[in-house]
This record gives sequence, structure tokens and C-alpha cells, in this order.
Amino acid sequence: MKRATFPVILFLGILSLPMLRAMADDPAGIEFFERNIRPILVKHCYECHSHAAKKHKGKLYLDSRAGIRKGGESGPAVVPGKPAESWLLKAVRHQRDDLKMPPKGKLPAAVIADLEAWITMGAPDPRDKEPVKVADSSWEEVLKKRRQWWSLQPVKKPELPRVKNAWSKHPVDRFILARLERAGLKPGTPADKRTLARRLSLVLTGLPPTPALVNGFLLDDSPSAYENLVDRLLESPHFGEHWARHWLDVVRFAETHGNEWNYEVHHAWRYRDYLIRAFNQDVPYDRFVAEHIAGDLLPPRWNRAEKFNESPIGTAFYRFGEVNHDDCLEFRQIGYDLVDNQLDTLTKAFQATTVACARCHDHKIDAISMKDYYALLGILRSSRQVTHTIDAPEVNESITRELRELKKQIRQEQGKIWLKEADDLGRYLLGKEPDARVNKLDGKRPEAWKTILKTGQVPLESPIYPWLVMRLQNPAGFSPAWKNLQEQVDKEARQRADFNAKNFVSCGDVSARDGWQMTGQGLRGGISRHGDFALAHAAGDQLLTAIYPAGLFTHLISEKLNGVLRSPILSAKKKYISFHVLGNKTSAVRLVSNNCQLNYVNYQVLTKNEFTWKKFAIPEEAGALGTYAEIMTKFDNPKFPDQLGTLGGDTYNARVPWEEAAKDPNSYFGVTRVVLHDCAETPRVELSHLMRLFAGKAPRDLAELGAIYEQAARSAINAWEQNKATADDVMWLDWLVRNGLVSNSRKATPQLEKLVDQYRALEKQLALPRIVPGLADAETGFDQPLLVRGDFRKPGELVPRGYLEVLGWANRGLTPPARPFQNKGSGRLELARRIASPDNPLTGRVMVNRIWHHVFGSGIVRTVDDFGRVGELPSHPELLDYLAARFVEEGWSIKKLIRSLVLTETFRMSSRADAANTKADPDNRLLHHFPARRLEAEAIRDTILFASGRLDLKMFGPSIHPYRDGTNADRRLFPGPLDGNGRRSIYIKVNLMEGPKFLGAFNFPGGKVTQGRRDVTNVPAQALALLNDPFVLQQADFWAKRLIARKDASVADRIEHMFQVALGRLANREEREQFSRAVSKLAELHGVAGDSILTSQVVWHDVAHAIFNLKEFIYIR
Amino acid sequence: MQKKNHCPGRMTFPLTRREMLTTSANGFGLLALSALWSDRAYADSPPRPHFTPRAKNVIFCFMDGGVSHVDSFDPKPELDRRDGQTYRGNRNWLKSPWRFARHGQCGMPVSELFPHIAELADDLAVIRSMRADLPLHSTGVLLLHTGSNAAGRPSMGSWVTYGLGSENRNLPGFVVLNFDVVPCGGMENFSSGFLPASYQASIFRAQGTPIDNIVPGSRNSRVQRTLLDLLGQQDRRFAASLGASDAVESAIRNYELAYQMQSRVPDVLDLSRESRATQRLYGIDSTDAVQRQYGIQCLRARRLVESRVRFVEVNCPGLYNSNGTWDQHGGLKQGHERNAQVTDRAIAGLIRDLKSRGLFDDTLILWAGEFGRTPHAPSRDGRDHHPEGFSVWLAGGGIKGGTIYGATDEFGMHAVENVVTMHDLHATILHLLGLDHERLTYRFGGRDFRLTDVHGRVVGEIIA
Repeated sequence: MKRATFPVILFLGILSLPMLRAMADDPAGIEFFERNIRPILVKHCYECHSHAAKKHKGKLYLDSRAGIRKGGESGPAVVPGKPAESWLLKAVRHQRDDLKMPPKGKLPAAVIADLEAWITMGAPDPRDKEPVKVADSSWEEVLKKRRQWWSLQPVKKPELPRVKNAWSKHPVDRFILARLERAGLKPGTPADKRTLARRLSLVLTGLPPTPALVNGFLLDDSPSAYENLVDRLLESPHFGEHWARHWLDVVRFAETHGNEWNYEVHHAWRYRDYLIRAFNQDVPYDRFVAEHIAGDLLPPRWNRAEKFNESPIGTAFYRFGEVNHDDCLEFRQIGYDLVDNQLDTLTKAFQATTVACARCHDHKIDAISMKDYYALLGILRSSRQVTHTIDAPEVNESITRELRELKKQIRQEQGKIWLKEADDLGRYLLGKEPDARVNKLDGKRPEAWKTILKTGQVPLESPIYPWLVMRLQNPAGFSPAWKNLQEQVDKEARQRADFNAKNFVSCGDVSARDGWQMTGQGLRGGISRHGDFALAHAAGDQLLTAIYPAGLFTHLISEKLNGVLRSPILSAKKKYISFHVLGNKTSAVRLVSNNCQLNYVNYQVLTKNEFTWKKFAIPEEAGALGTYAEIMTKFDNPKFPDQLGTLGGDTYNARVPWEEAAKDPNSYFGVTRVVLHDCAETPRVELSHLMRLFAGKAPRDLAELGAIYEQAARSAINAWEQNKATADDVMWLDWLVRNGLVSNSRKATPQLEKLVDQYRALEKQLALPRIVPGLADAETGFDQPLLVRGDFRKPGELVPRGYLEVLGWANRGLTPPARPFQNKGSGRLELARRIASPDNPLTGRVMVNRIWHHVFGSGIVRTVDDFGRVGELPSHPELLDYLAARFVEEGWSIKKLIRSLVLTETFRMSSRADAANTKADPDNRLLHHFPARRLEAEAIRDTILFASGRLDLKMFGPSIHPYRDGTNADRRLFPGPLDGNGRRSIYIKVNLMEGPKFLGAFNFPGGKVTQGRRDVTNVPAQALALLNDPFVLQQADFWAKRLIARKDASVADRIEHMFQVALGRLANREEREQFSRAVSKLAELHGVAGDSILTSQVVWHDVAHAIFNLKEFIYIR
Repeated sequence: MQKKNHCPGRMTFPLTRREMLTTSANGFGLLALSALWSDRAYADSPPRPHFTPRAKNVIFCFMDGGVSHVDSFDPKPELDRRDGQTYRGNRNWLKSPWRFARHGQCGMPVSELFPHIAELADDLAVIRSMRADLPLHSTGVLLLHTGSNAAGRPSMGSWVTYGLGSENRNLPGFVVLNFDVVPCGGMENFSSGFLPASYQASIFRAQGTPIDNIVPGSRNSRVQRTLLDLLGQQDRRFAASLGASDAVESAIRNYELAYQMQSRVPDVLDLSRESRATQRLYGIDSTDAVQRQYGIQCLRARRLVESRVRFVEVNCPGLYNSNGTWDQHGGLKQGHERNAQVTDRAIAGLIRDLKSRGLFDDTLILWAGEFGRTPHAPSRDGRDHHPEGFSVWLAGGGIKGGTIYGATDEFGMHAVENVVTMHDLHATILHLLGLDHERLTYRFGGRDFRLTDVHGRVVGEIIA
């Protein structure tokens, strides 16, 4: 009960002290205690002053009458009738500086007044028993009881019930009939064929039947007519669209992340398409579940037509929902909330179990402990939020092979050219005219040489440095100067090498051996050899982007190809991690901690084709946070398109729609070294490449030095041409190419030009990598400490990763707790096996119930997402078990199950409610008639498009922005076409920041939590939408245009046509008359003459509009 | 229609034109209205408050982005003394660029940013010891609106209409007067979360048509009437074919209400019959278009409350910054002055107008942002997010005017005395409306949810 502050204060004013005392032991006094005092004590005092207190303070127990009167070290806490002597009151009044209770802050005056009143009245206190400390083992007791819950019992296939009525032989009907008979009810009459055709079409495909389909069904008088119709609709590709949309509700599908900047969930539409294919192909549900949970770890399921692996796309489901972009290190809660949402979705979707309730305490009513929660949390926190490249190995394989071959030829051709050019090096250095024979091609080169020789200060590692030093020497001083220089270079080289050796530890050679992971088409070649190069992709004359040392580069074939490199979990033994990287176009390098993939701290965008060191401080708790490093190209970078281009990213793509930002698919990175270190500095450039200048005989003058330079370059070029370049060779080549000191033009020779043109033409044919968001395992998983009261600042004991204790032995006689998983990775694979198992009592039941819900409008268990104690009980428990058992027997086939359900007499009953039946069972839980229901938002919109003739049945592909008034780029809200290009609603983009408005009026789900059962509200906004929404009016116009082009003989004929299209049935006489009268009236109001009614756009617009507004139009009956 | 929620001994509202329409409509209209907006909010017996309410409506002036407390209602002389001195290396203490003066009989210090609100100091209860959670807009705005850092929970306005129902069956119970600004955290801030969708906010826009689809698709009202009559016949036949369906019946009735709303919503928002003087009071005579618009929204708020809309939230216009009007990391001087200029007169005007119409005692006004701003800054003209201690104020029904409650430390850094959390603020607002925040629950996904989660303390000290 709640303290009633005001009445009590008034009350005290009226009553005298003796009257209060008289209340001491009577029921009113006890009630006063229960209402006003006990809650205060529990809330503010028990934490430290009770038997259950973890940290007991002051030997004071306030949780019993004896305890409170005995008091603590200071004396009695409460002296009945004597507030002034009661220490409790002194403490709460803060009378003494050393005794201010509760320590968190003074209680409100009204509460203190209550305490005083209570003591004054004699401190009535019913707590006469000494409380016992609650035993820690109690959870086992609790679990023992709770595991008796119906949904946790093994599925047992029941016998078919006996029934009196010969209504149907279908097993499902017998279960339904048995319950009806037990209640003394009779099943309803069968529906007529037209009604059935429309019902079936809407339930199976979410679209009304075409008039042709209806007519075909009417004409088919074979006994299998209905079955034929069922099979035709089950084979329709639109079946998958409709059932995929149901599943999207379950996984809280959304294509943006909401929060503040509303980042894109990259390629989320591919998951939607995956579902459509999965439902159409009837992928067995156990496989479907396993793909969701751990599709990345399963053997591939190849899509042979499209040449990609379907399996990992399932894991995209984890990635929807709201994601905060803020600093997860400072605001650590963010990372836990994110994974909590995944855990919640996972357990509700597949198990209809609210495991997330056990985040802060054991579940209040279900058989779920906090340990269960943290066992699962460990699995999910050990997994990583990643992108998967799903292409089969053969995608782009032959083109890539050809491109490699061309590169080899280009290299040879270019090598020949450069070797010739090397002959000129000495002349250039000495400032002489170049050999016209060599240099006729490129007028820029002499300028480039002039520029580099003019440069004042260059770093020691630059190959030109020795030349710039030596050219200042007079002939006499040349040799000593050379010696000095050599000593300087030697010394510096040693120092740098020593410094690097001393201060930096390699973080592995970025290969799988050291726990690094790489994905993406651009990294298929693995670590490149020294001297590999990228060809400039643009149409210009430039040939090479650059020549690179050995490392991982995504663009050695094409900048269109993607790549991701991921480190193992970092340890905080060293302070920093640094990357020697280059990259461009929103490729980035970052550290991910606590699975926060939108974080902007520890994130650096790569915007240059030049190597730099990117340094990050490793978080102190890197291990516990699962911190890892990641380098990725544009479409694998979750911060693309960049909402915060101002933070140093590429501004070209900031705050524009995806399709605009993604027009240019090019993006790349390269990485050669990753090091760990404690010093603030990053590694220094070493000087071994300069040694070749000092290796031979010392030069005596500049001419000789020029020859040495020539020789140095020539050997580098030679080695490169033969694909034998070393890192030092690359330093020289890179210097020559970058500074324009050698030619870099595809037009250098006709042969080169031909090769490059071939290359570019082939490169155009490369298919863009197909990428999906998902989850992946790190090499090793880690266990999660239980967080006391869900507070990440209070880690408790480590909980081994595993699944729910209650499901560990429910069916198979396993020894409890059967929890810890043996797998080295996250444990998702084992989790998938536990859930997608015939032995799991929930998996089958939950899914058949979801299917039943969509076929019959409400589930056998109406709370489809909760099979726990708060959920409802099944209306037909045996039927549920029968269906679950059969579902498994029939290979977890969703289509077979649906087929079986729609073939029942139950499904084929009329939707007319019989008065007597309704009186006995008003909610129709026993299914005495087919329950009519409103269409879902998407089906309403699709049906309007269908009727108007605007529906475009094109399937798959990126989503269409929903219609809205204008752009709000800060929130990534971009307007789409009013009619969504006529596409079905499943292809309208689900933007978490703002749902599609028209669909929103009809209970389109929010996309943040699982919603297997949608609300069906009934509000005027829906009437307003159908009456006035511009989409509806536009479609009425569209339909009217088509109508007036028809050659209908009369108004009545036209109305007949409209009824058939929109309602799948004929109009009766009364309807024809009423509509005809309305048509005349409308014509009159619009001033349309009688003979031109049939061609009047305005009149038929209104009639079409009226039809869109019919309840029958938006109902399944 | 019988009003059941009135406090004993209070004068009932004068019968408005709207009420006349409702009560005197034909039987069908009456029936329709009683089933509308669905469920509990408009049920035949609206939910009762848990105890005698002190206020019946709420107007929430949402100061989006976070007003600087040390520049508005919480003067800090210590900042004047330390101005420019280093704080934690790269930041400096920053004194307020505005002067404070004492106002009203209570002598409440208010900065010169808010000259009009300052005149009403004796009506305000300023809480100077607010504490939010994270210094992030998205979580902060959600916490203020829904009591949770994460999206998915019902908005305060949804809880209030769920708890009390609406007294006007022609208008939604929870209205947000918005400037086409999607706040951080998304439209989720105005959502009913897991409460039935009928409790979600209706967003009324400042410009253009106030709500979606309110303008009749057919300009000719006789055409629309013809369509509705045709629909009525056909739909009733459909309902009959199902053997009487409640859902279809009430959907049919929705059409009648929708039909009426087309004129009534614009009507309640139509300010043309408001006197010049009233309009001036709100600053609607201003030459500044934004100030005028904000004034219009405040006047609309009064009209809505007058029509007994339960909870009206007035948003800020999208000035300056995408993350909230008041989010001045830079340009503090200019930004705060402009925002104050836009909002100050209208809010003061609203209070005066409510008073003159006898509505003030029934209406609780909340002025609050998601957090305050740092007393220190990296620059000389900007402040960052600051949830550790900041100010909000309340006025109207049940509020003890002229109150200053709680305190931050001498720098305005931390709330140190009588800390008030967002949950406490929510508990207090519900309490003033006659709702016990621990009893106002909704069962969803396996547990009972509250606006105040498992927290909340009624701040009795600001209650008259």
C-alpha cells in the first residue's frame, strides 16, 4: 500500500495523543504500521539493518519488533510512546552530525512525521518473529517448482480425441471439435467458395485473389479444387513475402539504428530477401533457427542461382533494434543494453521466454535465474557485430584470375619502360637535359625532377636525401663528406632499428595464425608480396595508384572489392596499438569495445593513399570488454554514410541517402604492420633501403653518385619486373612513382594502353561484393561475470557460457546443470543446437503457435511471445502438442504445416458468428466460427495498390524510402515516392526514427522489441488515413483513370467489376442499387451529365475512394 | 456527458460549445464517442485517480537540448570569482554572461534571460537539484519523457492519459505541439510504448496542417457525406454478415468521429477568435516569425487544456542545433538569448492567461530540458551537457509558488541538497494529478511496468 501523506498529516492534527496511544495494538495501529511504516523501513533501512542485509551495519536489526526496540550500539531505536528517546527518530531527523540516516539523503518531512506519529501511538508492530536469513540454495527449490510449468514439459504427441460428430476426419478438426463438443457447441457452417478464395489468398500471400484465380476456382468442380488452390497459393512467390513480414515483427526488423543520428543497418534488406526466399523454399525451421543463431558457423547453404551463402544472413537478426553511437567506454551501459536487446529478441523469438527479466534478479515467476541470463549474455558478448561477405568463392573468380594475368603483363611492360627511363636518372640528378630518346613521352617528368631537387628539407629516409647533401660539396670535400654521410646514415639506421626493436612488439602478422580474421573479396589474395600494386581505376591516364610493400590490401584487383581485418581480443598489457595503414573513401580503422559498433571514439577514418601510423590507447579493461581492432572498407564500415563527416571523415557522403552515398562503390585500405607499445611515439622509418647507395665503391664526384643512383633504381625496377622486389626495392619504386620521377601513364606504349583498357573493361564486370550485417565469433569466447542487480559496476562470479538450466535436462535426462559449453568460440553453435532441437520443448510449440496465430488470427496460446506464467494458457494444449510433434516429424516444414491448417474444416468455416455459440464463448477461443479480422497495415496498403492496378509485383532489392513531407538529413529521414513505386509494403524502408506514416496508422510495429502479435487498435486516425491520406486519394485517382478507360456497358456493370477486383465477389442487387444511386448523386454534386458518368474521372475517383474505405475491403472474413 | 473526475466542491467548467455538441449530438454520435479513442481512455467509466488530484491537466514546455541552469535559475557567484581559471587542464570555469536579480515577494533569483517568466517568480517552484543520468541527448530526452534511457517505454503523457483517461471525447488526450523537429531518441519520445496505441501522442504541427489527414480529401463536404452514407450502409451490412462484430461496429463509428474531427481539430486550433490582447500576451504580435509561432503553440496549448485535453507538450522550434534548440556548445550568448527571447514571453503569457481564465489551478506547468549545461567549458562562449545537477520549474495546480528546492554545489556542478531524479519528478507530477506512481502500472512482457520503474519519490516540499 502507498503512504497517504496528506490524509495522515491532517489526521494527526485532529486526533489527540491519548487517542493515538489507544491505537497502539488495535487493528488500526497495525494497519498504520503496514501502510506507512513497514514500507519506509524496507525501502530505506533494511539494506543495512536487517538479517538479509549483505553488509550489516551497527549491530542494529530493524526487521523485527524485538530488534527495533532493542536497538543498536547507541540504544533503543524505538521507545514506544517516546519519540524523543527513540534513536531512530534522531537519526532520520539528522539531529546529530555523526548519525544521519539514511546515508543517501534525508527522508521527506512527511515520512519523518509518520515515523513520529507511529512511535507516539506506541509503535504498533506485528513483526513478532525473528526473521531468518534466506538460504542461498533456495533457487534450486524455486526451480524445482517452476520447472513444472506446462510449456517446459516435453512435447508428447497425443492420441486423437474421440468425437461424436462426423464433421471432419482432419486430425486438427477433431481436436477443435472435441473441445466444442465438450462445451456443448457446434462448429459453424462452411464458407462459400468466393469467401474462401479471398480468405486463403490473403492469409497465404497477403494479397487478394485475382478475379482469374477466383473464377478458376469456381469453375473447378473436382473434389481437389480447394486443395489445388491451396497448392497454387503456397507455390506463389508472394507467399514468402507475406510470411517473411510476419517474421520481421518477431525479430524487430528495422533498417536504421534510431537513437540520435539514425545510422543505417547496412544491407538490412538482404535479410528481408533471405526470409522471403527461406519461406518460399520452405527451409526446414530447425535449419532456419540455427542459421539465425549461428549461421556463420554452419556449413554453407548455397544459393546456387545467385552464388552466395544464405546461411550467415540469418545472423542479421541480432543486429536490428536501437543502437547508441556514443562512447561505450565512458558510458558502458550502452554495450550491455545493446546485447540485452539481442538476448531478449533471441529468447522471445525462438522460445517465447522472457529471459531478459532476469538481468537484475532471478525471474520473478518463471524458471529463469540470473545465472541463466549471464550464461547467455556471455555467449552474445563473446560474439562480434560484423559484416559477412556472402559471395561464393567462384564469384568474380575467373575475372580476378584474368585481371591478375593482365597485371603481370602490365608489370612487365611498365618495367621495360622504367628500365629505359632509369638510364636518364643521372642526367636528371645533375640537372642536364634528359635523353630525348627516352623521354619523348612525358613532359611532366623534367618538372618533377626539378621540383624534387629544389626541395629544401627532406627526411633522412628519403632516397634523395644523400644527393641533396652531397651536391653541396666542393670536389675536395666530396669524399670525406661521403664518409661522414655514411657514418651518419649507419648510426641513425642502427638507432632507429634499436628503437623499434626495443619499443614495439608485433601484434601478429595479421594472419589467421595469430587469431586475426579477414573477410571480403578484396582480401581473398591474402598477404601480398612486396611490390604488388594497384591500378588507378579512374578513366584517366594515370596507370598505377601506387606500389606497395607486402601487406594486406583490398584494392590490388579493384577498389570495388571490400575487406575487413579483425584482430583477436586485445590485452591491455601494452598501452597502445598502432597500425601502419593507408586507405580512402570511408575506409576506417578502429577499436571496438563492448560490442559497440557505432562508437565514434577510437575510430579513425582513412582518407589518404599514403601510409601513416594510426595509434589508439588500449582500454584498461580490454579483455573484459572484448576489445578488438578492425579495419574495413566503406560498405563494411557501420558509420557509412557518415553522419558526422565533420569529425574528420569523408564529407562527400555525410547526411545523404544511402543510395546517393553509395553511388561510388570504391573504397580501400592497406595495412602492413600492427604493433603494440608503451611509448607515445610510433615506429620510426628504418633506413635499410639507403644502404645500397653505400654498398659499393664510394663515389668520388656527383657524376659517380648519379651512376650509383641509376644502379639503385635499376636494380629495384629489375627486381620488380621479375616479381622479386624486396621492401627496400619498394621504397625506391614508391619514391620514383609518387614523385613522378618515372612515367606513370597508360599511354606510355600502345601495348600498355591496350592492356590497361582490357583491364578496365574487365574490372567493370566485377560484381560488387554482397555484404550482410551479422554476428561472428572471435577465436575464443569469454565468460561473463554475473552483474549484481544488473549493474555493470558490480561484477560478481563468472558464469560459464551455456543455455537455460531448466532446458538442460527437461527432456533428455541430462544431469543438471548441463550448462557449460565446450566450444572454444562464443558458444553460439552449441546454443543453436540446443534451441533448434526436437528435444527442446519450446521451439516447436512456439513456432506452430505463431503459424496458428497468423492463420486463425490468434494463437492457441494468445501471448505468442510469452509461454511463461504471465502468458496465457493454451486454449487447446493437446492440439498444440500434436502440431508441434507433427511439425518435427514432417521435417520442420512450415509449408506442410500451413497447408495442413488451411485444409481443415475449421479454416473453411464461415465467419458468421452464431448467437448461441457466441453467448457461450464470446471470444471464440474454441473456434466455433472463422474469426474475421482486420488486415495488417501492409496488406491494407497492398490491397489498395492491387485494386487500383498500381501494384508492381517486382520482388527483392533495396528498400524504398517511405513517403514524408521533406528531408530531415540530421535524422536520416529522406522522402520517398507517395505510392512507394507501387511496390509491396515489405519493400518500404523501415526507419527506426520514424515509421512509415500510412502503415503506422494501422499498428505497424515499432521495430525495437519483438512483437509477434500486433496490436489491433480501432482509432479515428485510421478512418482519417483512409479518408484523407494523399496516398489513398492518389490511388483512387489511379483506379478511376483505369476505370473510365474501360468499356463497361453501364454503371451497374462497372460496380460489378469493382466489387470483383476489390472484394473478390459479386455485388448483390441491393448493393448495386445503393452504389448506383450514390453514383448518380455524386454525378449531380460534381455537375456531371448523365451520359458522361462512365467517363467521369471525379465520379469514379469517389467511388473507388469509397471502396477503399469499406470495412469489408480491409477485413479477412 | 457526466463528468466523473471532478474534485468535490469545485466549480465545474462552463459548458463549452464543444461540450454542447457532444452532449446534444444524436444518440449515434454519443454512442460512437463513448467507444472512441478506444479502450480505457474513453471507456464508459473512465479510470479514477488514486486520490484527490491537485491538477487535472499538464502543459509541458520541453526545453529541448538543455538550458544552462547557471545562466537561468541557479546563480553561482563562485563562477564570477573563478571565471577563466583552469578546470581539469583543458577547460575553464565560465561565469554567466547574464545578470541575476531577485524577483517577486519570494525574492527568487532569475537571470535576465527570462524577464517575463521572472515576473511570475511567486508562482514558480524551481527545483535546482535535478539529476539525470547520462550526458547524451538521446538517452536524456528519453529519460525525461519516458523514465528510461532506452526507447520503448510509454511517454509521460501516455501514462497520464492511461491513468486518467480523457475528458474530451473529440480530441486526443495527449497532444504534442511540434515544429517538425524529431527529437533525439526519435518519435519514440511521444510513443505509448507497450500501452495501447490510443495513448500515443497526437502530433500537432506548428505550420501547415496541424495533424495528418485532417484536411478532408474531398473539398466538397456533401460529397464526403454521400460517401460516408454509402459506407455506413455497406459497413453495417458487413457487420451484420459477421453476426455483429464489435470491432467493425466501432470502426464504423470511428468514421463519424473522424468526420467531425475534420472540423473540430482545426477549430480548437483556430486562434482567430482570440482577442488582440490575448494574442499580444503570447507575443503573437511579434515581428519575429519564430517567436510568433512559439506564441501560437502556447496559445494552442491553453485552448487544448481548456478543451480538457489531458497532457499537452510544447516543443521548441528547431533553432540552431539539430540536437536540441538549447544545445549551445558554442554560441552560448547568442543562442541562449535568442531561445529565451522566443520562449520567455509566450510561456509567461500562457501562465497569465491561464490565471485570468481560472485554469491555472487545474493545470500543472512543467518547464524542463533533458539536462543543464556545464559551469566550465573549453571555450569562452559555450557549455556542454550536464546531467549531474540542473534546474527545472513547475507552476500551477498544487504547486507551492515562490519555492526554491534543492541546491547544487557552489559551482553548479553537482546536485548536493535534496537531489531530485527524473523518476522523482515523474512521481511528483503523477502525484499532483492524483496518481500514485507505484500503483500506476501496466503489465507487459512478463512484468508490471511503471513510469518510475522501481524508483521515484514524491517531492512533497514543492507541493502547496
